[in-house]
Amino acid sequence: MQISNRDDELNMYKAKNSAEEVKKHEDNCKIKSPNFLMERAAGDFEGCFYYMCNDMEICIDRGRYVQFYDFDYIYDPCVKNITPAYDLFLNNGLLDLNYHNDISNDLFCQRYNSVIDSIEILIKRVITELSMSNFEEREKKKRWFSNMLVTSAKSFEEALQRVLFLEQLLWQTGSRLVGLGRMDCYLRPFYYEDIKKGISKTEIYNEIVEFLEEAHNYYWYKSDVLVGDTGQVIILGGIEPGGEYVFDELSELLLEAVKNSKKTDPKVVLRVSHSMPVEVMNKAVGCMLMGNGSPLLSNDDVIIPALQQFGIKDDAYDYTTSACWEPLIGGKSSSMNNQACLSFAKALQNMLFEEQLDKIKDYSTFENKYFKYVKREIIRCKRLISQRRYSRNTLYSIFIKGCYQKKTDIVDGGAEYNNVGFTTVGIGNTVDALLNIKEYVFEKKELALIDVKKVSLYNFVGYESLYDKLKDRGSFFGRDDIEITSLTNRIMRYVTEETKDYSTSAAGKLKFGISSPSYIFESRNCLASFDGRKKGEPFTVHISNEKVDSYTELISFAGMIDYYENRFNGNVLDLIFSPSFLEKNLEKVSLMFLYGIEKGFFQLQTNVISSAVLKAAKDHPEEYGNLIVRVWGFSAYYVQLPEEFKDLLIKRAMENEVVV
Amino acid sequence: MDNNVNACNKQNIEQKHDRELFICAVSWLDLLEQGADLYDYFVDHGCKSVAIYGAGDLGKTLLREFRKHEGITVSFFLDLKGKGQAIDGIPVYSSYDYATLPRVDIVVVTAFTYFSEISNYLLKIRPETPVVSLKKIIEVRSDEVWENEYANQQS
Repeated sequence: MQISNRDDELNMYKAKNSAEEVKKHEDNCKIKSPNFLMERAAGDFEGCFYYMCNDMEICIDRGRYVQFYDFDYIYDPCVKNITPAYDLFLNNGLLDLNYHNDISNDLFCQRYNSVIDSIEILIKRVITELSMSNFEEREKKKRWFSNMLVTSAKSFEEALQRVLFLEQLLWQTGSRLVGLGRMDCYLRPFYYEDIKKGISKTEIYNEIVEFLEEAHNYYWYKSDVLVGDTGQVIILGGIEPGGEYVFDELSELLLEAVKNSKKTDPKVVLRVSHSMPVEVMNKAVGCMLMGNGSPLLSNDDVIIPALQQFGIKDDAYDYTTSACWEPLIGGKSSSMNNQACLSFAKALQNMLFEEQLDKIKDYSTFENKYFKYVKREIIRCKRLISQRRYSRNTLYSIFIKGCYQKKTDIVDGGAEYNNVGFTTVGIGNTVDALLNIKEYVFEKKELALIDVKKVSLYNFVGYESLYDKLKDRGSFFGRDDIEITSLTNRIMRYVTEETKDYSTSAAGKLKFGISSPSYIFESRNCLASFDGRKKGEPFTVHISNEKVDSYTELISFAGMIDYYENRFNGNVLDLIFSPSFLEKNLEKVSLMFLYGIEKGFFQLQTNVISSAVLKAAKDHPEEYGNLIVRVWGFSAYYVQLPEEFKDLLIKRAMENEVVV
Repeated sequence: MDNNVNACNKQNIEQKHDRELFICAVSWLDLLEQGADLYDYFVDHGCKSVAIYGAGDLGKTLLREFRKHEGITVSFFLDLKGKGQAIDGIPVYSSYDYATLPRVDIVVVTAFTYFSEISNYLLKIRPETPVVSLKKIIEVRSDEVWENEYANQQS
């Protein structure tokens, strides 16, 4: 199925979720493979997988790689937001991954081997299909697929094919947000082997380009909450255990290919460090200038120590991220990092509406009571997480390290790391509200707490001059001030205190961060807050403040937050640059980011946007089909976003332009 | 056509109410079976006097809970249609009389499907008095009991 333009992709995305479309696929499947539906109803992953591999349609075209989906085989959604161990599949034949001993008494091993058998069936079907085709490179591709069964990949191109094939299987079987992992690491041996054989960098670059195009295909199917949110994230660079920063020729080619692709995904997370060369940062900023939202910078100097303090030792150097930014150990983790969302703003709202406010006499009492309501939200999250159950996924269990040795499915704790993450939202608004309350109610005594409640209740009606005052003064959050960072850290450490002893059924620990995809979703039902935010307006996006005078102040602020213990599940400094500003100041921005690494920001992403262009795109979407923006942790075509996301980006771009 | 739409909306609201009522009732029962109740919520919030909005089955059940303990008084019921009655000695007033009634520490709304409208009305009259849905109180207590049980299991 060819998707020719953005409208087609958007329509396919909408259709994917429509009841009519789902029914159409179910009806097709009844004809093609009623056994698949029967096994699905019985919750039998292996049975489903067997019939899928036997019966799904194989479509091969003239492209460099083989990739196909059959949407009539719809799985129930299962584990998501994790990265498989691609190196297992690149460095071994599939049949090497089998259990070879007597498995007659072990159900997990039997299931495991049966899934490998089914993959073997599918691979042989692909080979047969290739044999019947008249494509020029069919013999090469037949060799690739034959090799898949019995040996490691023999070239860089072949390795990329294996990545695509594994990825395809995972997407096809209901896994969502499948990450691409540290591509420059697991592909490195194949790259240098090809270079030794005399294959040119240009040829390898072309192989990468076509790989990215292939991975981008069906992105409407892969999109999760919003179009573009596919989770296909490539991790590049990073420091080694010896302290050396590695970003080599392959890393450069991958970054260059993503930069020139002008597509929303796959996207790049670049691991950075104080020891990285300036030239690498220059390349990263050059990529950002293209406006496709890549790369997000992930600070190894902060994240690796945080992971190690959490209990992840040498593997910390091998970290990747979930779909957006949450660190995990790719290939070894079952960490689903976005299992609940805690709203700091909701906790404050609940407090204002449930407490007898006239009994609260000082700010210290107020803040302590507020934490009681935060605790309530924490309990809610913990309970939600404890109740989550996922169907077994034997396919993922094959490609996540630990499951083979433990003979345990990934959903039952088979992975080496089984920690669980939740996100938080609204910390910026809450810090501002608390500081405003402290000032207006308890210090200047200009207002009473009942006024704060009325502001929420009446959406600032009757408090218009207060609203103007709060808007004019701008946000505290993001300013380089000890009181602001202390309060932020106090709130975060409180959450740690209440979550550090929690253990999941798979003996995993909880982690959280102050970035979240939910800054619009969670804000919709939230009343006005005492930071100048009106009812239903979005919360602050991650760590951001478009009214701060300088980017360096925001960076300093981000560097003063304590990300240790379990507070490392994504903490993104979100900056907006106008294209003209970035173009004129590329090297300075590069140095500023290096400065930021030293200061200790956790992660950083950019939106390179102009409000004028965004407004024009909103009015004339047909002319701006390829305009890309950064949304929470992924890139999307602006014209495909819901209106409230578009409006928020316009607002932030305008605020940024006023200050700059 | 408008009548059909109205009838449909009304049916949806009633179905939503029934569903929420069922979930609430099950959660409340679950709490009771674990030896807990809603009383601690009110103690935590420093409540000595309570008004209950809704003089139906849920309101009466809540009154019985309060009666198991000392220290918190149910001062009155509020109800759209309840003027002049009493439930187990507790007067029932019309919600239109709220402004003239004695202040309480909290109003608990048992008609939670219409909580938004009811709380907005009551808060306009007395913004200083918290108005909380029974559904929320049950959720909060249920979570607290779960947390205690979980902590015991861990230790």
